Amino acid sequence: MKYLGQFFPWMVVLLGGVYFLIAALPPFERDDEMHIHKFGQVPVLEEGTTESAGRIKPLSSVARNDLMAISGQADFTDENGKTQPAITWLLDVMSSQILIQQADAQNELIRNQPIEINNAHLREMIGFLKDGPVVFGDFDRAKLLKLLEEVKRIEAMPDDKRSDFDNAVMAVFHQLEFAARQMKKGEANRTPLTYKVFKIDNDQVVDLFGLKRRSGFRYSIDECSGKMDAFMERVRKIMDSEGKELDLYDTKVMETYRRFVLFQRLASLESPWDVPPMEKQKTWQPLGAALKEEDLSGHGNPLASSLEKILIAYASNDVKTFNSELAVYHERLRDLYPEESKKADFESLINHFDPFMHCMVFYGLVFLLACISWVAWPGPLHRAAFWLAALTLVVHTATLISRMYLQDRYFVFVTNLYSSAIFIGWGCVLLGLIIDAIFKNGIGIVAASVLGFCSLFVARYLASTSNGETMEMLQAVLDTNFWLATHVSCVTFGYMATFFAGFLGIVYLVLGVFTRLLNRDLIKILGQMIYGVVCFATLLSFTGTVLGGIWADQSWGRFWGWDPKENGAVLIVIWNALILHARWAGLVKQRGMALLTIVGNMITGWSWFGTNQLGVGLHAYGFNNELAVGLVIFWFSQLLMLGIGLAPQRYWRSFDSMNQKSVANRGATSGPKPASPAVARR
Amino acid sequence: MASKTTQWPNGEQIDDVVDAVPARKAFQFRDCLKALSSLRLTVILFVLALFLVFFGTLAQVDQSNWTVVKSYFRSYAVWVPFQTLLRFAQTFFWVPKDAYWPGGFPFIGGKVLGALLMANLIAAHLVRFRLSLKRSGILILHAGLMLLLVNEFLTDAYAVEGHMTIVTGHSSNYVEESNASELAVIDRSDPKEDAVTVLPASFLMNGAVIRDEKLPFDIEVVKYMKNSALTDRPPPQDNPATAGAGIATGVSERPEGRGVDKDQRIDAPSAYVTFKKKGSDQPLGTYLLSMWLREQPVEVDGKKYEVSLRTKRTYKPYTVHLDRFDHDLYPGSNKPKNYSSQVRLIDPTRGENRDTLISMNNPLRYGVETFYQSGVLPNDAGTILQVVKSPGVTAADYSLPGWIIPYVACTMVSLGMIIHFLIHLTGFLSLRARK
Repeated sequence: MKYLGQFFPWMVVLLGGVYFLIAALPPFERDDEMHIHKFGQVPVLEEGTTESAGRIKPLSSVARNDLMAISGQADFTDENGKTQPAITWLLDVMSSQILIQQADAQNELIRNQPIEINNAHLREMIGFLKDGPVVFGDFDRAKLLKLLEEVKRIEAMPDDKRSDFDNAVMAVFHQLEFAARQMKKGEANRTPLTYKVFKIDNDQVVDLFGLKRRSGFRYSIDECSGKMDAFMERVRKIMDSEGKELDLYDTKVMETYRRFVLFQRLASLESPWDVPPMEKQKTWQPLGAALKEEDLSGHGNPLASSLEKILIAYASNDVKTFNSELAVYHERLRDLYPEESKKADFESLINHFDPFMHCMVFYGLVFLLACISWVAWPGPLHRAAFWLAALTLVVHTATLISRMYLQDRYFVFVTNLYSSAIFIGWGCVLLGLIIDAIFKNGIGIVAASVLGFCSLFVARYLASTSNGETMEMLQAVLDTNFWLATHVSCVTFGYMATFFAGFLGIVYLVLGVFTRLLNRDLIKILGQMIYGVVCFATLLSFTGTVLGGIWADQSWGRFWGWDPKENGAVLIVIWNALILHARWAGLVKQRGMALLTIVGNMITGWSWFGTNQLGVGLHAYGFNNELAVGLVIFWFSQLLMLGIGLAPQRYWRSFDSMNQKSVANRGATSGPKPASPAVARR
Repeated sequence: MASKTTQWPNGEQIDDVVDAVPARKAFQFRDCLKALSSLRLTVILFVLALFLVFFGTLAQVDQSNWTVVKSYFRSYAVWVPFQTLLRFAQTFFWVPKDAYWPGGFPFIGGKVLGALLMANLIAAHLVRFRLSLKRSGILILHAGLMLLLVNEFLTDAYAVEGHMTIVTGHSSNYVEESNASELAVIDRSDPKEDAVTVLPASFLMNGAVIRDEKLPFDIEVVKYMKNSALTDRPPPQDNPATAGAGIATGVSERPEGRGVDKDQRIDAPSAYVTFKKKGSDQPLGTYLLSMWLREQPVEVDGKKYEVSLRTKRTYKPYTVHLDRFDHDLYPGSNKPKNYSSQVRLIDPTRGENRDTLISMNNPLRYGVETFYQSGVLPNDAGTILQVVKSPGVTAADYSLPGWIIPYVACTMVSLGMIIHFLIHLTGFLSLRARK
């Protein structure tokens, strides 16, 4: 057993490491199947008016952004009921029109094929001028009918009776027949029209299309096409009433309309801008425009025709050409745009790996291990939890660094709400592990895993609100790596430490009220932890806030402007300072501090998300109703904790047991010692 | 558990002023000081500060940042309307948008609160001053805090914010104060130089009559609007205007704009004024003057003047010439990547002539003034620079501009905290290690 206890933690870490490695491997694609994942690595420039526009990224990211914008999900169900990744959907959409377009282009060439008519009489009879070139396209219906009449007559008589005129007719007829046989009829790939991906989450709009309500509210274009005219009528009406505030129905109509427009733009190859310029100073082009340019001028961007070949191969199910042409395309891009190419490959891999998802699962596991370690097998389980958390932290860190690499902003941890959430999670886990290394009682690990899990969960939600785009380009005023790296990181770390203190406060209350685990030792230790973390939080939030003031002085000309977001930050500073001074004044002890830190949670919630909801100020980046609801729920949960914590101590189970113990001690008999996290030392 | 002394987490006892036994002696200055130095007072002041900041944040939903700063943070007392709290409820608790809560309550203003915090801090150090390594961090950090508080008072008193608007290829030698306007009477009879007489907008109160020997006529204010928007048509009935642009156009009164709004909206005042012949009641006509309108001619005794209501201008000894203005977007999007102004600063009084690029996050500092890239004219026709005069020593050599104060103060506070917490952390860790 001792032997097992020694090796158990290492086995857990090893297994975890192997799991991460396998998850991080790029998907294996056989030679006899389409290399869809490789297609997803193709770098393109996303355009448009959304937040995600203006960045060069792999097609897999574009696919995910656009599919989420249309359906609210990052994958979809195809007509066989199989779940497919977004890139397959995008490939289907992009190639849906390509055969028609290709056929059109080829038919245009054939229409220009010259037809030789040597007989002047024949020319006159069909209706051409005496001389001048004649092409296939010149034969309209009337002319063709005239010629066919002659052909019928000639075919009815024996070959040797044909006159020169007859032979001339037949010669022209054979030329026409040959050309006509070359004409192609391209067919649209109908599948994307049948995919049920369009989210219509409003009963009235669903009724407008004459559809039935279904769970998920996702419909296909084919289903909607019947009543498309009525729908467009409504859209036109709304667009005409420009400037008027829309009601819910009209808002949803426009939302649906924008989804259709996006689809249309993707299908007609107007978006994204897939074709990189052959010379650096020129701009990227949408594939559709690049191909048109090639048709008109005869010589276009070779990368465009290469992409066209890939799409044609996909549409005509030609696996070999698809794979070989794709490889050639990647090869060319690596020569022309080595940096963009490398980054797109890497981002695509991260998309596939989805590291934060796995980190979330692992933080959950760590939490379980740590909790069990308080009940049974404390040493090995505690060590296993610690080192598994450390391993997950390594992956978490590596992903943070890869995001910096992709954005080319080293030491910049936070650029938007999403990244602030993953950074707060990272900080919590790091702080939790440091605290556990000092106190060795499992509380640090529990805090690390719970806060790590929760913040990654919040991050996941935030990513979905921006259609999965988490590395958008920054507004001009924010575009300074120095301040992003110092002020924003510091302030976010201040939020993190304040939340961490608040969580320890909750641990104190939960252990005290609901369990008998909170003894004098633990009260003292938790008090020390909370005090230390609050000190840390004060330092970070003050320094961060002040750095923000200096940034404002540098860019707006005032050190402090009392802007809502600035006020939010200063509230956290004041609150932390209040906790410390109240402690020094003897106004509160451990329990009081625990309660105050929970109020700190509420204030931090306000500062992080709440101030944005007011919709005023220089820092306001977007109102979001769901976020407001989430915040209110969070506040109520914290108020509930406060209420519980304010319950007189005679109702606390721990104090109950402590009093009993002291009674028992007076009677000179010592009862069994209650198990406590503080006992679970390594 | 319920012992009276307070302990550091590491077991060290601190002397606690709160529990100090009051002396039986007569009321003395020292007792007064002790009461003022109380940590309890600190905590109470912190709570008040929290509420003040919170109210001041909510108030910005309805009022401009500028107004809120003046009435909440740079005032002695403030009246907080319940309507302000309603905004919070409306944002988060589904209270209907058109709800109205009458009344309000008074609250302590930022100036008083700042002064009390300052007094509390100074008193605490007077009572408990002890120079030791252990307290060095606290001393440094509190000194820094005092400096910050002083700076906020100074900013209140001196900092002037204004804008300089320059069209590409042109120059400007004046700064417009965003939050102040003036009525200007311009005499263009001298071909070399215009003679301008200005009247601050604060004089333009409804019903006021302004007589001054420098003015060529008397002015009666019919109606003054702090913020307004132009309308296509004059009011259908009772148009106050009898001459000038007001005959063909009208204005509608608007609520105050918001200074920190995303588009940095500035109030555009308008006024109906009647010009009268000096010292008489004989009207020359009632004009509509507005920030939206150009100068309008007024003739008195055969002499022509031009009048306009415009933002308050401060003329400078130097000229700023805009050579080039760039407004870059990220390709394929409408997201601004950068704004920058290539300017030439010419100051004959100091022999200055230099080219500088002003862009986002890269201001031009010139003496006690700083120029920031702040906005852009429609169609990228030119630039709007924000000009800030920081409080500071306005000596001839400009050696100590005031913008340095917050930098020094903040370094002190952060450093002080780091020293203080590190001393206690190392003490605590070594104590644990010994156990």
